[in-house]
Amino acid sequence: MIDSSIADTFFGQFLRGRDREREGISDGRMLGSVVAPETGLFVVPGNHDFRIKGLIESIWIKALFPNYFDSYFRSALLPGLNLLIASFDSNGTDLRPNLATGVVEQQEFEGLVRWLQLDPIRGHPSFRQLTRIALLHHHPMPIAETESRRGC
Amino acid sequence: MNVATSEKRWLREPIKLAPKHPDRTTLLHISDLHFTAKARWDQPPFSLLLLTSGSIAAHIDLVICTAI
Repeated sequence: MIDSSIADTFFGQFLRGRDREREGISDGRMLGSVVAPETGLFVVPGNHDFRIKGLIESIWIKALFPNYFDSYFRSALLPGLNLLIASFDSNGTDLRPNLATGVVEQQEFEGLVRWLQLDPIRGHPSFRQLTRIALLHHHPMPIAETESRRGC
Repeated sequence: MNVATSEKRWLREPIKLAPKHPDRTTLLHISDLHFTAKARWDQPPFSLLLLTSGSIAAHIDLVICTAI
């Protein structure tokens, strides 16, 4: 099925998700209930989806993201668009407060390797020609402090 | 391992999507929406996001959202 109005559908779900406020979810992340998985939508979790204010580990907040967006946190071949998209969770599992430092855990790469070895993936006729995109939120590379740019 | 990390998100079957235009693929990338249940989608900035995305929806092949 080819979705004809991806953005409308995507944001439409967000709007409908507001109804959940009346159902008792009045704080934390508003998370839209999700549309059919065949829409062209990919979502990866950020630090605010797993931590209070993006900083403090929270099991309650962590549980919301998969409830609403699990089917869109995915990696897939899209041969019609000439794309291979691999999605990574860059939220570390460290229980200490996290200042938006991206961490991609070893299990993520192991999952990627297993996936790329699958016959339906590696054996797909378009595999070698696809444009490959990795999705993640906060990246694991260090960011230079702005102060270090003084005098440049 | 985080809650959202699971094997099933590595899809075995390709997703069948065709480009809206034959000569290009168009991605809409948004990030850090930072909204909650209390967000007012009929007021800026979210209303502007809806307006903008709605106006270009017919040309977008894929929406990518890195962080809700």
